[in-house]
Amino acid sequence: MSLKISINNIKVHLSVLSLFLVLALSGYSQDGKNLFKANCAACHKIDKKLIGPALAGVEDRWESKENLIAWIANSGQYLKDNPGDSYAQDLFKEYNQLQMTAMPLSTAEIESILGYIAAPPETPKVVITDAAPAAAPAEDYTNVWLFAFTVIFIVVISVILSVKASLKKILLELKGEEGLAAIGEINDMDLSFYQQSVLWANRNTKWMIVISIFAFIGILYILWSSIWTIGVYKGYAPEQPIKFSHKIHAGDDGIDCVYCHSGAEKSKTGGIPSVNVCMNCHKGIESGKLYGTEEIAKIYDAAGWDSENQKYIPRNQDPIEWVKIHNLPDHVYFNHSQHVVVGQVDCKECHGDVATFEYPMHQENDLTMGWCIECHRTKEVKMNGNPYYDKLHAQLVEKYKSEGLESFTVNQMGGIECAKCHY
Amino acid sequence: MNNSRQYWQSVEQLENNEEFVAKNSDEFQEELPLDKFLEKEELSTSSTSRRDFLKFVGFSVTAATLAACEAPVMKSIPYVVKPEEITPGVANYYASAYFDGFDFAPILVKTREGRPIHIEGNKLSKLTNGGVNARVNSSLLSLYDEARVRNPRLNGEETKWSKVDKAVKASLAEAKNVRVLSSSIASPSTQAAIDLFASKLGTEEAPVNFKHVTYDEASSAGIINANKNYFGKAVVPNYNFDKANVIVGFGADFLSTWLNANQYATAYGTHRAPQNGEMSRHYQFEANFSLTGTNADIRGAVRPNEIGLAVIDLYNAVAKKTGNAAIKGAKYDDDNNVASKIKNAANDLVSHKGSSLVVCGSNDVATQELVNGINQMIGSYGTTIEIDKPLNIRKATDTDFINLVKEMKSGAVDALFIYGVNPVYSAPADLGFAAALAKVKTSVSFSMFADETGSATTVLAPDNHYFENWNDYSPVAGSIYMAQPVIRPLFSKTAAHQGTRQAQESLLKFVKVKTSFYDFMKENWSATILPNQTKYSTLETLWNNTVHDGFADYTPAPVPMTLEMTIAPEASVSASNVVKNSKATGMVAELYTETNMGIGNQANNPWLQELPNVITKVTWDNYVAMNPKDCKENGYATNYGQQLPASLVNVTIGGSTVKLPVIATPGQKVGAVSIALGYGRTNAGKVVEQGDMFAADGTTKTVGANVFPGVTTKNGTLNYYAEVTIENANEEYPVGLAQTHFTEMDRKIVNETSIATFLKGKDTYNPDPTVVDAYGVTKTVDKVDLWAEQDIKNGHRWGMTIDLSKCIGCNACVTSCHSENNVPVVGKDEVRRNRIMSWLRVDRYFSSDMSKATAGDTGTIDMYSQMEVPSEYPEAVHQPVMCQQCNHAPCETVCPVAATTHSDEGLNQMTYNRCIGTRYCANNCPYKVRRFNWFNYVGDSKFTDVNPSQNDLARMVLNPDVVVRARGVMEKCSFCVQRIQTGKLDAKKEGRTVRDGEVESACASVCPTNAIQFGDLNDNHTTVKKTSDDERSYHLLEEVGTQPNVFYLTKVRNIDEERIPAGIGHGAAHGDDHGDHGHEDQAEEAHVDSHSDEHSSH
Repeated sequence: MSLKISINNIKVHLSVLSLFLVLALSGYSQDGKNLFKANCAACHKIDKKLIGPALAGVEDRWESKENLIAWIANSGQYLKDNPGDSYAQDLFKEYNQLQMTAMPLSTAEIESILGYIAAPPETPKVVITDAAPAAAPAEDYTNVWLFAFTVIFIVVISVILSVKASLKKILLELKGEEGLAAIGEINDMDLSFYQQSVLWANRNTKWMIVISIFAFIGILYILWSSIWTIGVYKGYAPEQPIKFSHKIHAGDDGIDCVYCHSGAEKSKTGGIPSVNVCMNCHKGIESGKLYGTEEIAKIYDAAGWDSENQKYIPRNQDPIEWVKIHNLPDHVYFNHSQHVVVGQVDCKECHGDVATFEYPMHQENDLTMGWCIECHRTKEVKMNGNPYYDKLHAQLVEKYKSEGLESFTVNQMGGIECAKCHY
Repeated sequence: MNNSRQYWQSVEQLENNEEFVAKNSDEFQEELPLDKFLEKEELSTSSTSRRDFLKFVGFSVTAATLAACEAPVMKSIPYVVKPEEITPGVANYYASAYFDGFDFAPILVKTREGRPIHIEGNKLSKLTNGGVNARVNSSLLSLYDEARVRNPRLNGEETKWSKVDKAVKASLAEAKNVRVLSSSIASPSTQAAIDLFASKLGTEEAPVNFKHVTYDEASSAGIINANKNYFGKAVVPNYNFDKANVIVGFGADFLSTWLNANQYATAYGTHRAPQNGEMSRHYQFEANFSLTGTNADIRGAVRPNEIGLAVIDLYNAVAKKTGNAAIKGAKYDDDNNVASKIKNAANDLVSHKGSSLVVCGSNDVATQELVNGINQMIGSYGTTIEIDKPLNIRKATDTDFINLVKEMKSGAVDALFIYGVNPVYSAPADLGFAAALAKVKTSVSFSMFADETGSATTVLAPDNHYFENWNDYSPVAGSIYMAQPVIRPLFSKTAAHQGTRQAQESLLKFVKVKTSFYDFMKENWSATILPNQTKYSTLETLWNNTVHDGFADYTPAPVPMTLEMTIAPEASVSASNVVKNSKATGMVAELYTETNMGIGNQANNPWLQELPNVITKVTWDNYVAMNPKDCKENGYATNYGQQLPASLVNVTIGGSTVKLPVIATPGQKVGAVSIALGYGRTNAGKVVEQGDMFAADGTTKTVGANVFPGVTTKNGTLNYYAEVTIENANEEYPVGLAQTHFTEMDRKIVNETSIATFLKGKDTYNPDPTVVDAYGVTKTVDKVDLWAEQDIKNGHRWGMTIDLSKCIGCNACVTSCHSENNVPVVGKDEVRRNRIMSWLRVDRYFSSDMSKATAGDTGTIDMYSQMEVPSEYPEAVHQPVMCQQCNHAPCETVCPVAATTHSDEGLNQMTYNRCIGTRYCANNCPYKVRRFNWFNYVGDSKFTDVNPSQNDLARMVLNPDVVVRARGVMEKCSFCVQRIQTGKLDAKKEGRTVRDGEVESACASVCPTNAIQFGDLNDNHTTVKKTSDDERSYHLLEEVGTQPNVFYLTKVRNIDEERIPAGIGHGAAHGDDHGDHGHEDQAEEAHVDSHSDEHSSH
């Protein structure tokens, strides 16, 4: 057990270290804010304790600025050189003897960071807005035209009908009921619309038959096409316990899909990240762009995170009950790692351009068997460079010699056989 | 116009009298039994009219239809903090070990998302090489047993642990005599815990008398005492079956239940096939037809009481050959040439001096002393028997236990702690254990269940399942195996229950030692294990590597032997004792442990209850095994089936009478019967209440009857045979048999030959079947084809070989398959209707005296009907049969919806969601391997108590990668396609080819003798490719032309006589009795012709 823990510790140290290295290399600017973000923000906040202490007023807490700069540059060295500095020693102890990584920063750079800490620019107020996803640009105008024509058609018909009714009225006034009868009309102007319709239907049976046939076919068509949508939940976008926006995380922040959905490369399920994965970032990021602290606080509730004291309270932990969006039909086996690692299929191909999806997340594709098979029939397998396929590729080239094929679809290597997915 | 005619239905109608008119005014002329129907009170008070009923029906149908269109909202709940080693959807394997007081096996436990779903053998272990028997791999299901006790009990009341601890501590403070009664303790740390417990008892002023009594329900005290007398070491030695070229067994079922059977089966398998060097020759002398007996090359049937006399016979024969003094024996009942078989055995033993072995299952000390004598004469010690490497899983000497019960009866025992045994169930009736237990002031049972003992003790301190514990075992001296927890205790302390606690921890808590057993074990390892091994220098590395591998080698500190090497007892004294002990008149019953149930500690496990007995194929029952000859003499039924019940008898052994069915068992010694122990459990859970038998109280239903009370104590050891009286109860009793046919009917089903014939070459013992094609040309079957060839040359082609020489018929593959593939348990009644769902069955065939070769003048009808009858003392063969994955599958061509199709990889695929249940495929399958879901086994109330997939707890055992099939669909062996897909995917992900042995079906992975091989037939480097190309290989019913991907390897018996396999030399094997006879005759002629051609060309 203890061995495992120590390995874990080493891992944590290594990952923190590598994070620093990456951050240190990424931005190198004299600007205090940028420097702070690049070097310090992973562990420090100005007004709040994080992994390290809150930095506001740090210059006042230290006896001399030189000591502080030396400390920031290399705290380990500083502790060694100044065993008498009780403030520094206590600080080291207070934070579980976790040493701050030595910073490859010049004195000028450190000073500009300190300058930023002393007078940070006002944080812009968070604007809480209702997330209204922008309507997708209508590229297909067929429906618009159809609608316009229908409206025009209805207007024309009603104008003609009202003209006819006026003429009938005039005729009735001029010539009485006999006059109407002479042109095959009757006086139905005092009747209700329903009575008028019945009267019309009785007098126009041929039309009624034609209309009935069309109506019957129409209803059948609607039924038939709706049957095919049973069990197909394309566009399913349920409310989630947390208003998580993929656009912000995968789009704006550019977080890789598999950072959170790590199962996609290892397992049959892509997996929903456990709360501790959220906390990797949200320990520091307490407020979001859209909903402020409201939604992120839900993560803290789930993780049992006490953001005041910066620690976890395990008994308060309570998992998040996400609503599953992509539900495969029963009796089918699907493996993410097969497609992501072996097939090198991009996440987008099945899940859509998730980086642009606002909350709530939705299902982009049918996920029906026909949809799977279509891809298996057309998609060429990336056999090159995977020794597993070497022999099979040669055999398939031989098999399809007459067609002169060099690359093969999933189907051609037996990828639509029943027991590939059903067992 | 009167052109209409009138017809009358009767004369009465024509007359149309008053009576007729009155009678016909009603729709129903007879009185309707309305009163009877309306008698039910709820009907008369009901206000529901028929119209209302129809409305309800209409509404609910509509509502259900509409509801079906609604998408169910599925929740997905990830971990808060995901454990590092768990990836949802990926299985983890943990090395562990199994020991239940009876079986030991190193195992691998497969877990998914933290829950164990399958047990395999640990292939790293040299002890078993990955073999695990059915009892071990089924033990998984006990974890999820509803009957597990979740709260400790004090005087029968459920209570808190603190109260139990307080009560036990209080009684220990006053106790003068404290006893621990346990099964053999193979765990060094458990032993240390018991020792610590003992040392903490009492004070200096008031010392406590403590004793640890070991009691093995399947005792080996005979061997232990004989070795004590012989060598001064009271131990069971280590037997090396892999070093033995000649093995003689006397009533020792060492392949299935005797001592460390898992180890022996693996070792035995190494010398059973002719390609692995010299084949071992195995003689077996026994009363009941055991699994080991079926595998023997030469078997003799001996009455159980006369086993000792047969041993004397062998002793004398060996003595004569080796120039030792003979001893005086006595005549025994020899109706099947036992004497001459023993002579041959003696010749073989002596000619293989140093590589031969005699084992004996008798618990009679004198008999075992003579066996030791024989082993010494043939030089077994130091080679095939290692006396200085004792077996730690059998240590009981029986006398301790007998004395303990006496002490208890006298009221001298104040506190008794019972661990790992169930003596109220298993102790011999003549000891009176239950009454003695009542006299013990404080009795504590550590059972997981409120079983017979657990419900009779004053305290029940429920133990964890072994999956929830740390533990260690040293089954054979010189090795240490670790059992590690693979799941958190299912019943840990919650609001709902107090939870279970590991017995060792409870024991230590009672003497105020508060360490966890994990810490205690580590301390113990650091003190005792670490210094006695050389590989690892620190406890940390030793521990971590043992956790990973499951075991480590170490040399234990030598056990101080107080006795000096005594001289072997006088053989003639032993012999006279043997002769004295062998006296028995009338019918003798042997009480044996059976492959499925063992000592009955897993009786509540439906997988094991439904597992067919290896010889008789009876499920869900024990029975009186009687030779058909005796059955006929006494008028008992000898054929069983759906409509053919067995006869019930009253069996009286040692004063207690039980009612049991008689099952005709060929090979059973005439004049003796055998009855399996381990049945008739009560208080074990719901499964044991599914039987058709009744417990002693006459109302509680049980599976089978308990014959443990019939075990007697004789000369200080438990004696497993007794004189018996059997009375016909004149009642019929339905039995559920998985196979109702006895013989092969002279067909090439199990191709079997002798070593002598085998050496003459393939053409003699395994010729390819031939047919005549439409042009009159004789061809081998695979050349004649109606169908286009399957496209299976590219990529993989999965195949399997089953070496029938190595297969011992142990059924381990069957339960492994059940666990891997979520095969439902159906219960005895459905088994009786031939609806058992096993995807893999093990067929057993007996030899018959009649064959085409020996028929002579017998008429054809007589010949065939006599062929159906097994010999009185037949040989038996086992053949595992699963879907043969035919390349020309008869099932595929008849499916109207293409639910069963062929894959490019040679698999015969079954697609459940396409199947509409016509059952055409099953009817067209020549192997009868397809199973139909007659019921919704996971929901139907009929199966609630037998099917593990019904309750929420046991549902966790299901493999999430395999569909649970619905009612109305066909299912069958899939070659574990989920494992194939996983293996392929792993290879693809890592960018390499599939390694040999990487993809293994569940049956192949547990096979103790590696008889089943699985792999890619298109890869020339695989084992399966090599074995399938072996000259011994053939297909089952090859002549049908199904071209299976399963190959069987001819069974070779190591006997000197010639043996031309059935069906050869008399025309091609007849696969299909209903075939066109004219055509067959032609084939026969042609075949004989071609055969002679082949011979002339040689």
